[in-house]
Amino acid sequence: MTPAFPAIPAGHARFAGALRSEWTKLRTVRSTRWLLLALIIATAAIGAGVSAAEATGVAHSAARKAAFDPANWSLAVLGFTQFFFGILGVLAISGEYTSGTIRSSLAAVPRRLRLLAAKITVIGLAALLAGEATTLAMFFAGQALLRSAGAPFTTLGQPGVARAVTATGIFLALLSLLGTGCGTIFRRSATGIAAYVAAAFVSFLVLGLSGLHLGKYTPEIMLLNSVSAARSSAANGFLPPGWDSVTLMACYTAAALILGAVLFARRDA
Amino acid sequence: MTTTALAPRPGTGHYRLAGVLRSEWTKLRTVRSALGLCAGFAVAAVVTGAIFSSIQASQWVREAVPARAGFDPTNASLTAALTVGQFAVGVLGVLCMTDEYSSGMIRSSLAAVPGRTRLLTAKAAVLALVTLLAGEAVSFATFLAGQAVLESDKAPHAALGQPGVLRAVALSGAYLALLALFGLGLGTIIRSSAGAVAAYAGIVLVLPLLLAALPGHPARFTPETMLTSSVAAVAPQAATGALPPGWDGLLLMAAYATATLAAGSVLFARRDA
Repeated sequence: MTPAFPAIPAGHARFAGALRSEWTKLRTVRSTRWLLLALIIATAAIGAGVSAAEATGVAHSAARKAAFDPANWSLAVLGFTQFFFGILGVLAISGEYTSGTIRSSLAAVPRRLRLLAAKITVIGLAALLAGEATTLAMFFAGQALLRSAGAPFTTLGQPGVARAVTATGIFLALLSLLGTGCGTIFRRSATGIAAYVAAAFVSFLVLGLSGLHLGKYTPEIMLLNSVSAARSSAANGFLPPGWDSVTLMACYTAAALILGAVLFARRDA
Repeated sequence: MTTTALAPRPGTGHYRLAGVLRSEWTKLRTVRSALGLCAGFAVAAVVTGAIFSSIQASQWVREAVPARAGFDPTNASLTAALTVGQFAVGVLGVLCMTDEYSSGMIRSSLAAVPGRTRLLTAKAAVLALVTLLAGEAVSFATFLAGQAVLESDKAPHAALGQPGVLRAVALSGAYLALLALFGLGLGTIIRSSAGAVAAYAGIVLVLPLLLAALPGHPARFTPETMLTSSVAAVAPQAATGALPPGWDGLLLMAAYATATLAAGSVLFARRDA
């Protein structure tokens, strides 16, 4: 007698399988390609346009040269392009709700936390790679531009520079995962993106007005003024360059992901 | 022999603009997220405005005399609330169109009202009216709450009777309605909620940051900067390179909204739903 159904191969709902399926999803949905394309075009176009104008300005101003941090300067465009990292993170989960794939995903991997953990791992690693690649590319392009304009420039060997470049890539991955947290909590793409934008941009516009120095704890200010800075400018009231901001950002991201995970485990899909 | 009508004749006039306006109002009123979003953000905006007025007052008290000269109490009370409000109305405008595509409702809407331009006109009219009322309510409530806070904290405060103040408060409310229409235009062009919300946020919140680095202050022509630094101001904020207070910013925003809606309208009339 033959069995009615072929035997189910063992291990298909294990974590490794879930990771593989999440990687396939992230790699093949259209939005990932659009976002990567937009990221590259925006970064290159804006980077070239803004930086060329700025580099000449710096080269001709003694006052600006004195306080100039070439590493921080070459990464400034990330204040804009971090947007794409966040949206990538949101859509990685909200896209499943839009299309209904979430129901198939949960049928295949019924353990919800396992599914979410696989998703977070894949998005985190992909965003980390993309983040480090973007950061390094911008750093090298920016330094070459400064050099050719006759402005002060720096290298990865200078104190604090390698740390600034590495920490910025990690920070971008954390922003992507903050997006995933928002997407998991809200389930709809529009609301998830709106929540991400509120956390990443509205927060600093509003808190920056406060005069209470709360702005320095917002993601955008941390990214632009402490994570990507190689040296501290003492009087400016920002968090110091280095890992403090990365740690604080990791706490924000963890909080969003934990709330998302609790809701994801309890709600209907 | 008598013939019986197989179906009752459709009532006359249900394809008219009045009927379409009524159906659009029902949609806006009953879609789960829309009015809740609006009300929640209106309250959040007024509360944020009052808190920041208090902070501005305490800063003013601490500041040296020369720095006090540029203090604009109207602008101080409105800016924080408008920063929150501009995001909310834009998302409302976007969702007003894209929610129909997400749910598939757009096909029923177009079956009921085949005149596409008429449908979009009705949608824009209802959205503009609702956000104009909400925008003016938020703007005046924030202004009055903010001035009361500034007064009680012994900082300079403004009254609606002073030159330029009523204009700044009223135009800020109207500007929010224009942002909603701009959002509707983007939603009509892009059709996906995620794409259109991202585009709106990119233009309103991210673009000014980016343009701030360029020479010639191009950021003064972006929607956010025009609202917080020129439309909502009484005293010129020359240092930031902003447009002068008054109608300039509002008219330019009206041009942006019109252009976006016109492009949306052309695409809406030509594409499949």
